[in-house]
Amino acid sequence: MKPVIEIKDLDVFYGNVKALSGINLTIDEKEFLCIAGPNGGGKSTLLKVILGLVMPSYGTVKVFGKTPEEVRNTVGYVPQFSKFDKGFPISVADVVLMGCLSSRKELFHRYSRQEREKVENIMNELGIHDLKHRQIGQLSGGQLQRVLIARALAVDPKIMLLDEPTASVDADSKEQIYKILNRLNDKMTIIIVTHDIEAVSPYIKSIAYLNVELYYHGEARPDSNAINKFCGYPVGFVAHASPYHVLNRHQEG
Amino acid sequence: MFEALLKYSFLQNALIGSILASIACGIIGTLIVEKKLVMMSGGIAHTSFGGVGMGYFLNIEPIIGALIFAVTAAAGISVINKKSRTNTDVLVGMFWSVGMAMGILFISFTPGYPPDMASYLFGDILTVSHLDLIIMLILDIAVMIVITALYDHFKAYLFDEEFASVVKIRTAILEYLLYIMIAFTIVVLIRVVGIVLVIALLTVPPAIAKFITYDLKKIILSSVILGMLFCIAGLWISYELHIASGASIILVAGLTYVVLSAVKGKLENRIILPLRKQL
Repeated sequence: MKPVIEIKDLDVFYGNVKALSGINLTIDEKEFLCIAGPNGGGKSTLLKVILGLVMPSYGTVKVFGKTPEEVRNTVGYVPQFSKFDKGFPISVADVVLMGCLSSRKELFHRYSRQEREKVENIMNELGIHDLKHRQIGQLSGGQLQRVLIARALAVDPKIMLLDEPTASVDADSKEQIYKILNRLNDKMTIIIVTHDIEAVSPYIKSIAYLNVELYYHGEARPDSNAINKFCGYPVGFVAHASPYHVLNRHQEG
Repeated sequence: MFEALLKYSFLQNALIGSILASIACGIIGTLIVEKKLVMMSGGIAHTSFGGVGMGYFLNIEPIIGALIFAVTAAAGISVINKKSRTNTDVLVGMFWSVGMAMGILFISFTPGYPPDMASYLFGDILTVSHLDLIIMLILDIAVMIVITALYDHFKAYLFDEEFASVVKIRTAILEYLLYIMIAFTIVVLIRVVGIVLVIALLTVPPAIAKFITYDLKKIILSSVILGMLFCIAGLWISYELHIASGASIILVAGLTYVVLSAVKGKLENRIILPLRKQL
């Protein structure tokens, strides 16, 4: 497995507030990584650093051996959907097309026929093709989440970053979303931030616990009691395997 | 009024002015409503009062002074917000009052009788000059070119700025462009409805347009048309009843919105839904 993301000694400050501290993390190709941890633990910040939206205060982040800004169009991003203005006048198809805007000529831009066909295919694949003329406010949480995944796929990414894709989504839709991600994992690396560790655990290959510092990164079957202690909240994790992992301060790279 | 329209050039100017103003107003009004920049636009408008005062003081065309102040305020709010992380709302509040204060200061220093500021504050479309029309036309063309050239990018930026920057759209440039176009639009509208009344003409047409369509492009086009209807109706009322054009245009717009939203529920099934299907 070759590494796709290499993070070394990363610190991020917002003003005087330390959001991330001393993060060393290497993520391999075709990984399915779940990032867990308490609110304010820096999970979203870590995704934004990988996307190049937040600059490291100290340390380096390399994606495919380059800086995040250089490789932005190989990374698909699914933001938290709760912060959207659902009244915005845009249809499902137009949202997904946004993913094709990358690195194209800027002035008097029009979407090409190939791009429109690609978007049709992606919408078919995710089961949202019937909804393509709907305004986004007329979708359920699960449908909107699939639209945002479709938009990220339209970028043709090699890595997918998802920020709480199953927050306020019903159980059936959750299952559906995880199955989609599981399928996509054959082709790409997937990193997901979620509180919903129990539901995601059958699909993920590894897990990272983040609370400003990185407490654990490894196989997705750690001792849940120890994790609870470090994270300061019950993670709702069902330990499927014998908990022989020793919870070390994560050391890598 | 129609005979008068053929006879008097000031009425012809007023009519052309209404139409020109509605174009920029419909486009930028839609954008500021979707990007939640309404208060920011109000701030830019009021700051430009300082420019009107400066115009009188330096004996240059007041509308040029307003343009300079509006663009400076737009750029200033954006730059200071990025550099100092001061809340945009707070900056808008400061620019708003400081601009007005500067206008009053300039006017008190202007020698001779104090000029009549009411037409800039509340608009007087019947006094629109040839130069005003030329400035309006140039600013309209600038706004139209920028929006058509960057439509897809602006749409992405308005909807989800973060994702837009993830796919390498230069959102900082779009933001500056949008702010400067807001400044242009406000200057175009000052002659028609005045500094104080600008906001309603920017926000009412898109608000009504959203009753019938969910498509951004159609909201823009319907806002332009609605703006024209409001301006022409207001102009006619103002001419017939001898009241200030700004007030009559805004009241027509406001009243239309109130009536339409009151009957919206009843009309929904019979008119709005079929219309939405057609659009």
